[in-house]
Formats: sequence, structure tokens, C-alpha cells
Amino acid sequence: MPSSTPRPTRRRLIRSAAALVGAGAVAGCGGTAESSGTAVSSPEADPPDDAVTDPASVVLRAPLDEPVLQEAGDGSDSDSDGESDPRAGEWRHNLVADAETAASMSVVDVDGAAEARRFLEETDFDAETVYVERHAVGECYDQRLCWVRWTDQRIETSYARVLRPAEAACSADVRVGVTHLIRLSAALDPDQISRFSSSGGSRPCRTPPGSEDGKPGDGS
Amino acid sequence: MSRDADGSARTRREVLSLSATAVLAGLAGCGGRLSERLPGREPATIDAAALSEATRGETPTVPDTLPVDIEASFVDSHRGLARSKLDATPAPFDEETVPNGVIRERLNDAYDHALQSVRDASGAPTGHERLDHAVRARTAAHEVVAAWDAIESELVVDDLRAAIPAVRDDVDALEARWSPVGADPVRAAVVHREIERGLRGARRWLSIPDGQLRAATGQSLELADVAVDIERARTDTAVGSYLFDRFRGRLDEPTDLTDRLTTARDDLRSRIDRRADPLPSDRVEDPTSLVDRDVETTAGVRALAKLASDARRRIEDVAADGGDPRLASDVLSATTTLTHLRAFESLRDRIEGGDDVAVASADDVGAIRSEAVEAIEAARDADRAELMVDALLPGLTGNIGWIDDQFDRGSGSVRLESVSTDAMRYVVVATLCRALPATATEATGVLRGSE
Repeated sequence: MPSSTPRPTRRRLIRSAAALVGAGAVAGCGGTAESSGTAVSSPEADPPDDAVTDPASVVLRAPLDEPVLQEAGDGSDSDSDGESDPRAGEWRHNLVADAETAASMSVVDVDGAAEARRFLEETDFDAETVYVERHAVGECYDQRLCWVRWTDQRIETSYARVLRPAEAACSADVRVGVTHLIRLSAALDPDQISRFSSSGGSRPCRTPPGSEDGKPGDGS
Repeated sequence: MSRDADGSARTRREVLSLSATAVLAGLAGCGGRLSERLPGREPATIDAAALSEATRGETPTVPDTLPVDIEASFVDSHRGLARSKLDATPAPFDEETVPNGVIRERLNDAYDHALQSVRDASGAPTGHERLDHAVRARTAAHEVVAAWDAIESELVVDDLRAAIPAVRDDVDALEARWSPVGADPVRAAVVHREIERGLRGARRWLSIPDGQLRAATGQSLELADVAVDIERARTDTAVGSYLFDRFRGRLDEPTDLTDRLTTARDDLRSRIDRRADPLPSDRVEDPTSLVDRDVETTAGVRALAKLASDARRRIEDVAADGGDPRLASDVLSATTTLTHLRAFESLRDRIEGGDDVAVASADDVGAIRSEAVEAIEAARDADRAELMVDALLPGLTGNIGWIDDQFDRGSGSVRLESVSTDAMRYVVVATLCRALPATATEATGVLRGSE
């Protein structure tokens, strides 16, 4: 089961987007690859035993270059770290761990913005944390959260990419940013979280055996 | 030849195969040949334009044939079905009919493929190829109509679930009445291999996991995928049934050839067992260890390693095969494996005889390509074991045009090692095609009981 940690005592918002992807570590005839990063594997396997498959969450879609969450005052976007690493455009993640930070954040006017504001307001930061994760996704696809799991040091998610209905007007060549706000039932200390990973695939989410009547879960 | 302390003799081939693995394992993955990684040694190259010019030329055509008189009306029935399916949709689709760009692109691709296959079904050189194109047109058109019906909510998962039993019944019915009948066992093996493929294919297409069906709910493209699998099973069964009736109907006295084919298969497999000895048991790290002569890793040596690994894989696949029926398929597959073994031996003999089969210039590559083209044409025009050669040659010719394209895509200068790797493919094709007529003659003799 997910672990819990003492409540953080200061305003915490980590910008860890490009904390990633040890691709550069693979070189020459030796070296190792750090495991944080987006994986290309699909969520075809059953969720891990300690994963949560139906966390409270809100999804926001916006143009790829438009940050949907902004921290008031400094103008920085909270679903990015503002770095120039091209990989950061693909995958960004943050942690909102206290009410003060949550209250300072603004949500741009996209579908679901009001729900996102309410979601942040209603989070009990004494016992909960909001994990904000954004991926670049084809405009014609939805991204559904299959599961999330965490420890004091690590957060891991898995998503399914699902084609939107035929009547959804979209281009095959355009990508958008899909941001998930996921409520974790633990007051995590962002300073202690050092590893983030996320996997995705085109198959539907798998649900734990016996958890429902065989229907594919959408996890969202 | 070298000699160990105990006095036992080892050929160079054996010594290299024992030592090269350890030496080269340390270099594996580090990229590049040792000589090219030493300071001051530039890798040898060949001008890309010269390579493109040297590998330009006509490519021989090897039509797919089947010794069954396929009526034009049967081909037309599939083409007609394809057209009527397409006519039932507003294809090609625009942004108004299908706003989702991914779905629209996929359906328009399938639509274009169906139309092209309809055209190809008229112009292909043999009845078998025309039938193949017509069937492709039918399944591509089915993808279009199934997806469109799913978009219009006229096709749902339950419809697909309900369609499967009837198709499965048709497969069962064909399998129940089918047997490898014939007069000439060679002709029969070639025809029944095709029917067996159809039966196995139909069963595979119908093995749709329930999870896939559930996941397709509400997803137009996934629903179309499943619908196409079912349609492929239908067409495989329809074609298999037609070929069986057509072939059997032309026989004066249909004789069940199960015993004959079984004996031939076992005979051919025992020949494989006897001749597989020269093959290395595993992938070789140093291909030059395959020849008992000092030679660089030339295109010919690379081809030798490729033939060895392909032959080994084919032999291992026989041991692990699954799915029935496959008696006739096994006979032809064993013949192809024997062709690989013959090709391996002949190429090894050629290299050990002093021919490096190396490329050092664009002209060398052109010459090796010419060898491949001539070998294909010679096999195609061979006047012995024609039935068997015609059945197996299309699977051995590779795609000369594709290899040509590899040379056509280069720019500037191309490293000799890369040239040698691509030229290796020509050598493989040439060697296999040269080996085919003799092997086909041998297999024909086995099948007819004269060898």
C-alpha cells in the first residue's frame, strides 16, 4: 500500500520535470541508465499490488505550449519547470503539497478549469498531496490514468492512450498537453521525492483481477 | 590446421570458432571494427553515386503460381464484394464525414489500398496473384465498411461476437471434408500447402481474445480490426474450399496421399538431420570461423553466416512447430531447409576454393548483383522440377529491388563494411536460387518415390 509521510512544514512545489530520463548515461561501452523517465511499455500487465487504480483526479487539455496551471505572482507555470530540455516538452510533473501553494495557483480557462480549482481547494493537505503530471498527447487521443503508486521517495503512473470518438474534430499531426491532477492519499514531502516514472500504451487499462466484472477500466 | 598439446588436430575453422567468441565478446557493442578504431586508420569507403549506378537495372519477376485453374469469375466475385462494400460508405472521407483526423486517415488509407488491390486484381500476371489481390481488396474494403458502420453505431461488439460461430462452422466443415488427395504427389503437395495455410490462417484469425472484444467496445477502429480478422477467416475458408473443390474436380481418381506425403516428409527430414552437421550449433561471433581458410569478413563470408543462421532457425522451427493441418506445408518447408543447407555448403566450398566473394568497388557490387539476377532467372527458367521450383522460388528471391534501394539511398561515400553487409543479401539470394533446382529435383524424386 502507498506509504504516508509527515506533513511538510513549508511551501513546497518542486519543479522536477527534467529530472529525468537518464538517456544520456548510456554511452560507449559501459555506463548505466537511470530509471526515472517515461517508459514506452504499455499498461498491459495487471496493476502492481500497491497501485491505486481509481484515485480522485481531474484532467485538463490545452495547447502544448500553454501552461494550464500557474503560480500567482511569479508567472511560472506549475506543470513545467521552464527548462529548455526538449524532453521536458513531452513530460512534466510537479507536486502540490500545501494549501498555501494550492491557493496561489491559477488555472487557465480551459474545459475542467473550475473543477480543477475546486479539486485543489478541497484537498486536505494535512493528509493528501496533489500530483500534477502532464504529457504531450496526439490531439485525436485521450489519455486515461490506469494507476498511480507512490512511496516516500518515488511516484509512478501508468496511462492508456485511447482514440477519441470519430466526431471529435482533431488533426492527426497536432499534439496537445494533457495534465492530470491526481490526489494522493498521503501528505508527501516533495523534498524527499527523487524519482518519477510514467508508462503508457495503446491498450486499455487493466484492472486488478476480480475488481470488477471484466470491463476494461478507464481509470479516470 | 593447428594442433593442441595433446596432439589432437583442429582445423582453422574449429580453432577460430573456439577462440573468437571470447576475443570478440570484449569488443561487442563498442561499435566499429578494431582496425577502424585505431588512430590514423580511416575506414575504407565507396562512392555512393557509383554504388547507386552499379545496382541499377531490371529486376527479374517471379510470379506467384499455383497449379490450379482459378476461374476469372471467382476472382471477380471477390472484387465485386470489395466494390459493393466500398459503395456502402461515403468513402473517401473528408473532415465533415469523419472529423477525427486519425480515424479519417486510417480509413482513407484502407480505401486507397482496397482500390489499388481491385486494380491489381485485373493486371497481375497469374490467376493466383489476381486472386490474392482480389482477396486483399475484399478485406481492405471490409475494414472501411466495418469502421464506418461502427461510427454510425450500426456495428457493435455483440454483432462481431455473434458472427464468429458461423465462420468457425465453415472452417470445421472444410477441414472435415478436406484430405490431401491427388494423383501426382508433387502437384498435390503444392496445392494442399495452400489449402492448409488457409485452414490454419482461418483458425488463427478467429482466435480473438475476449479481452480484445471487450476493449473494442465503442472504439470504431478496434471494432474494424476485429471485423477484418473475421472477414479474413471467411475469405481464407472460401478460397481454401474453392481450391480444394477445383483441384479435386480435375482428378480422374482422387487418391488420398496422406501416407505418401508422410513418408516423403520423414525422408526429407532425415536428410536434413544428416546434412545439418556442418552448421554451427549457435550464432557465430566470427563468421570467418565457418571456412577453413584465411579470409576477411567479406560479403560472401557474411552470407555464409546468414545462410547458417537461417538454416539453423528453420531446423529449430520444425522441432517447435504447431498448428494443423500442415503435412504438405512440412514437405515444402523441409525442401526449403534442404535448399539452405545445399546453399551453405556450396558457398563454403566456393570460398574455401579461393573465391573471397568480396566487394572492394562499386563494380564488384554490380557484379554480385548480376549474379543474383542471373541465378533467379536461371531457377525460374529451369526445365526440371518446375512445380516445386515455382512453388518455392518466390520465397527465396528476397527483394532485389529493396536491396537496390539500400544502395540508392546513400550519399557521399559509404563505408565498405556497410556496403559489404548490404551486398551480402545479393549473395544469399544468388546462392539459394542456384541451390534450388537441384534440391527441388531431389524432393520431387522423394515425393514420387524415385529417390
